[in-house]
Amino acid sequence: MLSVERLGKSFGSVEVIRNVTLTVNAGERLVILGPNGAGKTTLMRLIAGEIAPDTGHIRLDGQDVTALPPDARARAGLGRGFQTASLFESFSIAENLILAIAARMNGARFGRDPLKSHDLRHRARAAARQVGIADPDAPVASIDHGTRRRLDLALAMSGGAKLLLLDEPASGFGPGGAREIHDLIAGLPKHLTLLVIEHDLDLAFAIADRIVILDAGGIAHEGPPSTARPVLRAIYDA
Amino acid sequence: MFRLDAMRIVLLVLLLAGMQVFAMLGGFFGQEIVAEIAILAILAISLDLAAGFGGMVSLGHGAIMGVGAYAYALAGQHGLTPWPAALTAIAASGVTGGLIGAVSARMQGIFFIMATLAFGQMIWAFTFSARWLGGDNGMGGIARASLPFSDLSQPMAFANYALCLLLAVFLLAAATLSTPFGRSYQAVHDNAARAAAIGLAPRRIRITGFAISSAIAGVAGILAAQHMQFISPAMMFWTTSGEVLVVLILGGIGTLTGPIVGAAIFVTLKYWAAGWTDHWHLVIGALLIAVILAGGRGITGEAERRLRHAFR
Repeated sequence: MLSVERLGKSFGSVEVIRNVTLTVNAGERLVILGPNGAGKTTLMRLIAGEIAPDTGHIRLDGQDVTALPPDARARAGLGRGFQTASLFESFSIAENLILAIAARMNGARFGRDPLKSHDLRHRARAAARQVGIADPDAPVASIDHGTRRRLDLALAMSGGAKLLLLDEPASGFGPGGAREIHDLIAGLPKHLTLLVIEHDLDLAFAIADRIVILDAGGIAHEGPPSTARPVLRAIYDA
Repeated sequence: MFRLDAMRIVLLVLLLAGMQVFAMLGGFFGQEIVAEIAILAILAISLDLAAGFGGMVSLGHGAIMGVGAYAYALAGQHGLTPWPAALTAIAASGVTGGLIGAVSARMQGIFFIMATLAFGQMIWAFTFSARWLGGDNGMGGIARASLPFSDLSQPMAFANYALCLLLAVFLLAAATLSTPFGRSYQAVHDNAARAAAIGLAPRRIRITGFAISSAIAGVAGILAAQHMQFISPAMMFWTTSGEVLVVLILGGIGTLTGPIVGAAIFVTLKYWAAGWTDHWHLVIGALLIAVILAGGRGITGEAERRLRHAFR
């Protein structure tokens, strides 16, 4: 599904990502762990196309997308969840979802108002229900943190995304809220491929098929969850 | 996000009806004022599309309007009748805006403003020094459009024609904002990173939006050329762009009806205050400061907010 080959990125003299190579198989749930400053979010931004790598290649379903902008990668099936919920603030929840579904279906064409399409509204409501949003007509400006995170996840999934990049989807929650979001992620359809950055180790281990540990911009460990704890303990102790 | 709701439709009808009555009762002077308001309102609507709904505050819209006016005049000189000349001029303004947008659309905030100011002043300087465009003397003898049922050489008929164009531009802008493109354009303004993440191409959408806005500025230029039957580079100077920005902030940015309110107040105040002082800009300036201190929503934006709150 996704392959990252010898990826490198520096900001000035600081090498943030060093020669990172990893693959994510279709339907797999890969969690990236690591201490602050390890390069997790930079790696996510490189995969999403928000910044360009200095070296290396990114392939999505075999297609080299290294030179493609974020919107083209989104149309190729990549869904993006942000560390801080990234929403269209002047629209309602349903309108956010309608925009996302319509964008992946048709792009920005001239024609009938998508906000008046019954079909799109029906699909938006279904997408809202899927992430547990009860009132899709609420304006985004009025919703709580939990609903914002849920909508961010729904936007990432909308319009038929195949691979979801989720950057700390439970950030800003207390233990109960984080558990709800992780139950939600764990319950996502199995055909969706997930690449998740998470700080909460218990929650990360609960959803991961495989774990990659980043440290100082490079891969320190890659393997099933059962093998990751000793490596993490060594990194955090050091 | 733009919605053409009942409140805006009622306000639009009241504004157009009020101007129509003013033109009927105001004699020649009133009819000229109405035409001037319509031209300024069309230019302000075009700027509202760019700045209010696209986040692209332009100080080049005066020059882009001038491109429309000069293209119309030139097309007429080369034998085109008014309507094909107008289409040519709209296309020229749109293409000019598209080119400016292609260079400037990556920029944000003050850098975008400065880029459009630079482009606008380049267009002004070129026109000012181009002898084939009449240089600083401008161009005269510009034909008004012809209609089978109305003689547009008559001030009342021209005022009505200007109001019809204003209505058409308003409806076109409202319709554009309600297409998938228009919704995407507003989404890009709202959150460009999220827009890209759902598959929208922010830069292309911003360029297209700026080109559409510029084409509408061209309509204002054509109407101005037809109104005065004379054009000069003065209309392209950056102060024209600054003035229309004042109109937009005064009326209410991102409302589409606000530009009409702003233009009506601006032109009316200008002639009223000029009757008793040379420093009529002071009156406009004081009103602008009051509007900004009241929250920056503009007269229409503030009125809409209060009415929505009252009827909630």
